[in-house]
Amino acid sequence: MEPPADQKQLGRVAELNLLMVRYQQADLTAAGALIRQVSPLLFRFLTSDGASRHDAEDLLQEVWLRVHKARHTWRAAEPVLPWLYAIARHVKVDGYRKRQRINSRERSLESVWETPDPSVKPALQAFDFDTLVAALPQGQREVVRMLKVTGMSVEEVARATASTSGAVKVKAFRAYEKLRRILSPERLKNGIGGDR
Amino acid sequence: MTCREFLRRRSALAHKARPASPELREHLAACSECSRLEDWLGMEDSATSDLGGVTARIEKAIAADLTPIEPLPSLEWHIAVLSFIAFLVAGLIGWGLGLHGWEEMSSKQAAVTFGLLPVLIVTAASAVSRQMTPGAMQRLSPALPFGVCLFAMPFTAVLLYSSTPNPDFAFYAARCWAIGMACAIGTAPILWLVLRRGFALQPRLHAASAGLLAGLAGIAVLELQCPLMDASHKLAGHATVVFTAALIGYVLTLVRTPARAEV
Repeated sequence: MEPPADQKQLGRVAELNLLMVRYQQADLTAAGALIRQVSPLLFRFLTSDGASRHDAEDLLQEVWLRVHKARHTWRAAEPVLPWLYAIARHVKVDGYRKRQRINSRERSLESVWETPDPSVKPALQAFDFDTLVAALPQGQREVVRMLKVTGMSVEEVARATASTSGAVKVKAFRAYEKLRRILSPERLKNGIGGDR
Repeated sequence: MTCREFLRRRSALAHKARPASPELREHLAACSECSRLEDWLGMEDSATSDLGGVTARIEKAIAADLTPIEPLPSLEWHIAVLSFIAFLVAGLIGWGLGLHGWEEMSSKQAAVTFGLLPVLIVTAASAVSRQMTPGAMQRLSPALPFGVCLFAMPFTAVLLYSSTPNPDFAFYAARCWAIGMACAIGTAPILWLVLRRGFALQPRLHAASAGLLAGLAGIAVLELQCPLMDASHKLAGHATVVFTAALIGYVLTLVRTPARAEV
């Protein structure tokens, strides 16, 4: 059984839920507070997987537009973060596909001008989050990001990713196995990668 | 405790929840690798960014269109209403066309058929209802109703009925298919009245699921009124209604207006 979350986390969740209820009642102050509190988390989520700041800001605006349009679908008895992240996740996927389509047309030109030097290893910080999770498959990466960055529970991550708690636990288990190997001192010294 | 067992139990916890069990803490004290992972999980991740300008624009856009809204009724309400619609349509139309199928069935055939159909209808209604809301808890995969229909229907048809050659096979199969599809198409708009307030993140899957539900109402009508107790006929004329209705639902989302774009 999952131990109870700390009081600070519970208080934050209750506050976000209350703000969302008031947002549904057309309280602009509450809507603004909700946007300001949650946007940094969503932005962090949207900048993963290589999106630029500019792209992530566009995605963030798109997320909130869809949140606004779909605000009637949130029920007060349910946690608000998974609901927000479910919308953000789909906006992110749409944005990623669009970027891929654009990049696939631009890649051939870039390859003419930039040839990576194989002798130069990218600088690694021992516990850099993005570097570490980049070695994970996409599904595991997403689960670990949500668990660690947002502080959501396993059940809430399951809601946000439209999967079951069991599936999230399996992904988390496999991700932790991989991360545990990556975090070994020898591995960090030699570089991370190729372990997908 | 092995490292594998530690990871298995750790993956069931929210990342900020410190392992409370003495066994887990004991393992952490003894295993440097698992301890390192635990330290990493416990590290604070900086999620702050200077988003003042962006959030101000977002607030301004929302303020222009901010009105009170009525939240959706509960998930259970939706499941009950959608199921009720399917049962009601099937019952009324089946009764109107005559309960010839019900009269021809043996006890065993009736028990299995009308035991399985309500389960399928409620399962499909549950899948459709959950897809209406972003972040809804998925107890089972949304694809489950499709899989169950795909395997359960042929299985029960072969198990319960025998196949006898019929020179008018195509005619009767087409007739039943048309009746079933008419019922499904008639059920779909009623379902849509309930579903239209939702916000499906995967509208194509949602529409296919709704089509499946409408198709199950159509099959229920056929099982009530069709007196032909033949496995091949059941498969060709009845079971295909479900998949055709699901396919129509899916295809309709391909031709919808851009304003209802996929999230």
